[in-house]
Amino acid sequence: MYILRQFQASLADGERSAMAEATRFTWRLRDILPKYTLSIASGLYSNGYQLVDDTSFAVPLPEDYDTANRLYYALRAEGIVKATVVSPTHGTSTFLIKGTTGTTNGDHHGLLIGVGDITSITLVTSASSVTTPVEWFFFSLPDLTDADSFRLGQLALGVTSA
Amino acid sequence: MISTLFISPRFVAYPQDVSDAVLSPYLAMFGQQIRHNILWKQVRQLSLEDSADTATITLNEIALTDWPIIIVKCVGSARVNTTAKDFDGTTAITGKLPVYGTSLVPGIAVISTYNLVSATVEALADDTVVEVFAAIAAEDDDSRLDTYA
Repeated sequence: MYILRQFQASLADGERSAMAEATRFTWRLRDILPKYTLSIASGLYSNGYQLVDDTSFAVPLPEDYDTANRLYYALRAEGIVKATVVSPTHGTSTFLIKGTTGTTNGDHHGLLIGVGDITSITLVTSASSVTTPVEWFFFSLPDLTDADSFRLGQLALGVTSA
Repeated sequence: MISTLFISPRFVAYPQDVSDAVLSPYLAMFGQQIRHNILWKQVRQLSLEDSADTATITLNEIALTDWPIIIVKCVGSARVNTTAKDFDGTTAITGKLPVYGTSLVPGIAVISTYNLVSATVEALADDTVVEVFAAIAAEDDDSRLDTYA
Protein backbone atom coordinates (compact mmCIF):
# COMPACT_ATOMS: atom_id res chain seq x y z
CA MET A 1 0.00 0.00 0.00
CA TYR A 2 1.34 3.40 -0.92
CA ILE A 3 0.21 6.70 0.50
CA LEU A 4 0.59 10.01 -1.28
CA ARG A 5 0.50 12.68 1.39
CA GLN A 6 0.25 16.32 0.44
CA PHE A 7 -0.70 19.25 2.60
CA GLN A 8 -1.03 22.88 1.69
CA ALA A 9 -2.24 25.88 3.64
CA SER A 10 -2.25 29.44 2.34
CA LEU A 11 -3.28 32.70 3.94
CA ALA A 12 -4.49 35.42 1.59
CA ASP A 13 -5.15 39.01 2.52
CA GLY A 14 -8.76 40.05 2.19
CA GLU A 15 -12.07 38.28 2.14
CA ARG A 16 -12.79 35.68 -0.47
CA SER A 17 -15.95 37.55 -1.40
CA ALA A 18 -13.72 40.36 -2.56
CA MET A 19 -11.31 38.25 -4.55
CA ALA A 20 -9.56 41.24 -6.06
CA GLU A 21 -8.03 41.84 -2.66
CA ALA A 22 -6.95 38.24 -2.15
CA THR A 23 -3.91 38.48 -4.33
CA ARG A 24 -1.23 38.63 -1.68
CA PHE A 25 -0.44 35.49 0.22
CA THR A 26 1.27 36.41 3.44
CA TRP A 27 1.86 32.84 4.64
CA ARG A 28 2.11 29.45 3.01
CA LEU A 29 2.79 25.98 4.29
CA ARG A 30 3.46 23.54 1.50
CA ASP A 31 4.32 19.92 2.09
CA ILE A 32 4.05 18.66 -1.44
CA LEU A 33 5.87 15.47 -2.29
CA PRO A 34 5.22 15.02 -5.99
CA LYS A 35 8.00 12.49 -6.28
CA TYR A 36 7.49 10.32 -3.25
CA THR A 37 4.82 8.20 -1.71
CA LEU A 38 5.02 6.52 1.65
CA SER A 39 5.17 2.76 1.59
CA ILE A 40 3.08 1.18 4.31
CA ALA A 41 2.87 -2.55 4.88
CA SER A 42 -0.78 -2.41 5.81
CA GLY A 43 -3.06 -0.52 8.11
CA LEU A 44 -5.28 1.82 6.14
CA TYR A 45 -8.85 2.85 6.76
CA SER A 46 -10.90 5.58 5.22
CA ASN A 47 -14.62 6.18 5.53
CA GLY A 48 -17.34 8.54 6.63
CA TYR A 49 -20.25 8.50 9.04
CA GLN A 50 -23.19 10.63 10.03
CA LEU A 51 -23.21 11.30 13.74
CA VAL A 52 -26.76 11.50 15.01
CA ASP A 53 -28.02 13.03 18.24
CA ASP A 54 -25.48 12.70 21.01
CA THR A 55 -24.73 9.03 20.48
CA SER A 56 -21.04 8.19 20.72
CA PHE A 57 -19.39 6.56 17.76
CA ALA A 58 -16.14 4.61 18.04
CA VAL A 59 -14.26 5.14 14.79
CA PRO A 60 -12.94 1.79 13.52
CA LEU A 61 -9.18 1.70 13.31
CA PRO A 62 -7.36 -0.23 10.56
CA GLU A 63 -7.88 -3.91 11.22
CA ASP A 64 -4.23 -4.87 11.44
CA TYR A 65 -3.03 -1.76 13.23
CA ASP A 66 -1.44 -2.13 16.65
CA THR A 67 -0.11 0.49 19.05
CA ALA A 68 3.50 -0.54 18.45
CA ASN A 69 3.20 1.72 15.39
CA ARG A 70 2.02 5.27 15.01
CA LEU A 71 -1.27 6.01 13.33
CA TYR A 72 -1.61 9.10 11.15
CA TYR A 73 -5.18 10.32 11.49
CA ALA A 74 -7.15 12.98 9.67
CA LEU A 75 -10.69 13.80 10.76
CA ARG A 76 -13.05 16.25 9.08
CA ALA A 77 -16.28 17.41 10.67
CA GLU A 78 -19.08 19.50 9.19
CA GLY A 79 -20.20 20.71 12.59
CA ILE A 80 -19.09 20.65 16.20
CA VAL A 81 -17.82 17.26 17.32
CA LYS A 82 -16.05 16.07 20.44
CA ALA A 83 -13.19 13.67 19.73
CA THR A 84 -11.77 11.52 22.52
CA VAL A 85 -8.41 10.06 21.53
CA VAL A 86 -6.88 7.37 23.74
CA SER A 87 -3.17 6.63 23.48
CA PRO A 88 -0.93 4.37 25.58
CA THR A 89 1.78 7.02 25.48
CA HIS A 90 -0.14 10.29 25.70
CA GLY A 91 -3.17 9.19 27.71
CA THR A 92 -6.72 10.28 27.00
CA SER A 93 -7.15 13.51 25.08
CA THR A 94 -10.37 15.36 24.41
CA PHE A 95 -10.70 17.84 21.59
CA LEU A 96 -13.67 19.84 20.37
CA ILE A 97 -13.52 20.01 16.60
CA LYS A 98 -15.36 23.04 15.28
CA GLY A 99 -16.72 23.29 11.78
CA THR A 100 -19.72 25.01 10.28
CA THR A 101 -21.98 24.34 7.36
CA GLY A 102 -24.89 26.07 5.71
CA THR A 103 -25.71 29.39 4.15
CA THR A 104 -25.78 31.43 7.37
CA ASN A 105 -22.50 30.42 8.97
CA GLY A 106 -20.86 29.22 5.78
CA ASP A 107 -19.16 25.96 4.88
CA HIS A 108 -16.01 25.96 7.00
CA HIS A 109 -15.34 22.38 7.99
CA GLY A 110 -13.29 21.49 11.02
CA LEU A 111 -10.14 19.39 10.96
CA LEU A 112 -8.21 17.34 13.48
CA ILE A 113 -4.98 15.93 12.05
CA GLY A 114 -2.33 14.26 14.15
CA VAL A 115 -0.10 11.25 14.69
CA GLY A 116 0.32 8.90 17.58
CA ASP A 117 -0.02 5.43 18.96
CA ILE A 118 -3.78 5.19 19.17
CA THR A 119 -5.98 2.80 21.10
CA SER A 120 -9.30 4.38 20.18
CA ILE A 121 -10.96 7.47 18.78
CA THR A 122 -14.56 8.22 19.77
CA LEU A 123 -16.73 10.97 18.29
CA VAL A 124 -19.94 12.53 19.59
CA THR A 125 -22.01 15.61 18.79
CA SER A 126 -23.01 18.23 21.30
CA ALA A 127 -26.66 17.43 21.80
CA SER A 128 -29.63 15.46 20.66
CA SER A 129 -31.23 16.36 17.36
CA VAL A 130 -27.82 17.33 16.01
CA THR A 131 -26.68 15.54 12.85
CA THR A 132 -23.10 15.97 11.78
CA PRO A 133 -21.26 14.18 8.96
CA VAL A 134 -17.67 13.23 9.67
CA GLU A 135 -14.95 11.76 7.49
CA TRP A 136 -11.63 10.14 8.38
CA PHE A 137 -8.46 8.80 6.81
CA PHE A 138 -6.13 6.68 8.90
CA PHE A 139 -2.90 5.01 7.95
CA SER A 140 -0.08 3.40 9.84
CA LEU A 141 2.84 5.79 9.64
CA PRO A 142 6.03 4.03 8.47
CA ASP A 143 9.47 4.66 9.90
CA LEU A 144 10.30 8.00 8.28
CA THR A 145 14.01 7.52 8.93
CA ASP A 146 14.01 4.36 6.81
CA ALA A 147 14.74 5.02 3.14
CA ASP A 148 12.62 2.00 2.20
CA SER A 149 9.57 3.86 3.46
CA PHE A 150 9.70 6.11 0.43
CA ARG A 151 8.90 5.16 -3.12
CA LEU A 152 9.95 7.29 -6.03
CA GLY A 153 6.90 8.12 -8.08
CA GLN A 154 8.17 8.24 -11.60
CA LEU A 155 4.68 8.41 -12.95
CA ALA A 156 4.04 11.51 -10.93
CA LEU A 157 6.85 13.14 -12.84
CA GLY A 158 5.41 12.05 -16.17
CA VAL A 159 8.06 9.39 -16.80
CA THR A 160 6.35 6.23 -17.97
CA SER A 161 9.23 4.07 -19.07
CA ALA A 162 10.63 1.61 -16.56
CA MET B 1 -7.27 43.11 8.15
CA ILE B 2 -9.46 40.14 7.35
CA SER B 3 -7.68 37.20 5.77
CA THR B 4 -8.79 34.03 4.07
CA LEU B 5 -7.19 30.73 5.01
CA PHE B 6 -7.19 27.86 2.54
CA ILE B 7 -6.34 24.43 3.97
CA SER B 8 -5.87 21.56 1.52
CA PRO B 9 -4.92 18.22 3.02
CA ARG B 10 -4.74 15.38 0.51
CA PHE B 11 -4.11 11.73 1.23
CA VAL B 12 -4.41 9.12 -1.50
CA ALA B 13 -3.89 5.37 -1.14
CA TYR B 14 -2.66 3.29 -4.09
CA PRO B 15 -2.52 -0.49 -4.14
CA GLN B 16 0.63 -0.67 -6.22
CA ASP B 17 4.02 0.93 -6.41
CA VAL B 18 3.74 4.30 -8.14
CA SER B 19 7.00 3.66 -9.95
CA ASP B 20 5.11 1.10 -12.04
CA ALA B 21 4.33 2.21 -15.55
CA VAL B 22 0.62 1.64 -15.15
CA LEU B 23 -1.05 3.48 -12.34
CA SER B 24 -4.06 1.68 -10.97
CA PRO B 25 -7.03 3.61 -9.65
CA TYR B 26 -6.64 4.79 -6.12
CA LEU B 27 -8.23 2.83 -3.30
CA ALA B 28 -9.12 5.69 -1.03
CA MET B 29 -8.70 9.44 -0.89
CA PHE B 30 -9.13 12.24 1.58
CA GLY B 31 -9.00 15.43 -0.43
CA GLN B 32 -10.26 18.69 0.96
CA GLN B 33 -10.19 22.38 0.16
CA ILE B 34 -11.37 24.12 3.30
CA ARG B 35 -11.67 27.87 3.56
CA HIS B 36 -11.88 29.99 6.70
CA ASN B 37 -12.48 33.67 7.36
CA ILE B 38 -9.60 34.79 9.57
CA LEU B 39 -9.89 37.69 12.00
CA TRP B 40 -6.41 37.51 13.46
CA LYS B 41 -3.34 35.36 12.93
CA GLN B 42 0.20 34.80 14.09
CA VAL B 43 3.09 32.72 12.76
CA ARG B 44 6.03 31.70 14.89
CA GLN B 45 9.07 29.56 14.15
CA LEU B 46 10.41 27.85 17.23
CA SER B 47 13.64 26.00 17.77
CA LEU B 48 13.14 23.82 20.81
CA GLU B 49 16.63 22.67 21.74
CA ASP B 50 15.83 20.30 24.54
CA SER B 51 13.13 17.73 25.03
CA ALA B 52 10.36 19.11 27.26
CA ASP B 53 11.02 22.70 26.18
CA THR B 54 7.71 24.47 25.70
CA ALA B 55 6.36 27.54 23.99
CA THR B 56 2.97 29.07 24.62
CA ILE B 57 0.61 29.79 21.74
CA THR B 58 -0.89 33.20 22.35
CA LEU B 59 -3.43 35.18 20.42
CA ASN B 60 -3.35 38.62 21.92
CA GLU B 61 -6.19 40.29 20.10
CA ILE B 62 -8.96 37.76 20.42
CA ALA B 63 -9.67 35.17 23.10
CA LEU B 64 -8.66 31.59 22.45
CA THR B 65 -12.17 30.58 23.48
CA ASP B 66 -13.39 31.97 20.16
CA TRP B 67 -12.58 29.75 17.13
CA PRO B 68 -8.85 29.10 17.02
CA ILE B 69 -7.22 27.20 14.21
CA ILE B 70 -3.73 25.91 14.91
CA ILE B 71 -1.45 24.40 12.29
CA VAL B 72 1.88 22.97 13.39
CA LYS B 73 4.72 21.84 11.13
CA CYS B 74 7.45 19.89 12.88
CA VAL B 75 10.85 18.46 12.09
CA GLY B 76 11.57 16.31 15.11
CA SER B 77 9.04 15.35 17.77
CA ALA B 78 6.62 17.68 19.47
CA ARG B 79 3.19 17.84 21.00
CA VAL B 80 0.48 20.47 21.19
CA ASN B 81 -0.99 20.46 24.70
CA THR B 82 -4.42 22.02 25.06
CA THR B 83 -6.74 22.88 27.90
CA ALA B 84 -10.30 23.77 27.04
CA LYS B 85 -13.88 23.65 28.20
CA ASP B 86 -16.34 20.98 27.17
CA PHE B 87 -19.65 21.58 25.39
CA ASP B 88 -21.16 22.98 28.58
CA GLY B 89 -18.51 25.70 28.74
CA THR B 90 -17.63 24.67 32.29
CA THR B 91 -16.12 21.19 32.43
CA ALA B 92 -12.37 21.25 31.88
CA ILE B 93 -10.92 19.01 29.17
CA THR B 94 -7.32 18.48 28.13
CA GLY B 95 -5.71 17.24 24.95
CA LYS B 96 -2.33 16.16 23.67
CA LEU B 97 -1.78 16.25 19.91
CA PRO B 98 1.60 14.72 18.97
CA VAL B 99 3.35 15.46 15.73
CA TYR B 100 6.45 13.73 14.34
CA GLY B 101 8.41 14.45 11.19
CA THR B 102 11.67 14.54 9.31
CA SER B 103 13.00 17.16 6.95
CA LEU B 104 11.78 15.04 4.02
CA VAL B 105 8.33 14.42 5.49
CA PRO B 106 7.64 17.06 8.13
CA GLY B 107 4.99 16.27 10.68
CA ILE B 108 1.84 18.32 10.34
CA ALA B 109 -0.89 18.67 12.95
CA VAL B 110 -4.07 20.68 12.54
CA ILE B 111 -6.84 21.50 14.95
CA SER B 112 -9.90 23.67 14.42
CA THR B 113 -11.54 24.08 17.81
CA TYR B 114 -13.31 26.38 20.28
CA ASN B 115 -13.58 26.92 24.03
CA LEU B 116 -9.80 26.72 24.11
CA VAL B 117 -8.29 28.03 27.33
CA SER B 118 -4.59 27.55 26.59
CA ALA B 119 -2.30 25.83 24.10
CA THR B 120 1.40 25.11 24.30
CA VAL B 121 3.89 23.37 22.05
CA GLU B 122 6.15 20.92 23.87
CA ALA B 123 9.22 19.28 22.38
CA LEU B 124 9.38 15.51 22.77
CA ALA B 125 12.96 15.27 21.48
CA ASP B 126 16.05 17.45 21.36
CA ASP B 127 16.62 19.82 18.43
CA THR B 128 13.01 19.97 17.35
CA VAL B 129 12.06 22.78 14.98
CA VAL B 130 8.43 23.79 14.90
CA GLU B 131 6.48 26.33 12.89
CA VAL B 132 3.20 27.32 14.50
CA PHE B 133 0.39 29.09 12.68
CA ALA B 134 -2.36 30.23 15.03
CA ALA B 135 -5.43 32.14 13.93
CA ILE B 136 -8.99 32.99 14.92
CA ALA B 137 -11.71 32.12 12.41
CA ALA B 138 -15.21 33.54 12.07
CA GLU B 139 -18.53 32.40 10.69
CA ASP B 140 -19.84 34.15 7.61
CA ASP B 141 -22.39 36.12 9.66
CA ASP B 142 -19.87 37.33 12.24
CA SER B 143 -20.15 41.13 12.43
CA ARG B 144 -16.44 41.42 13.15
CA LEU B 145 -15.78 40.61 9.50
CA ASP B 146 -16.99 44.16 8.86
CA THR B 147 -15.37 45.89 11.82
CA TYR B 148 -11.99 44.21 11.33
CA ALA B 149 -11.86 44.77 7.59
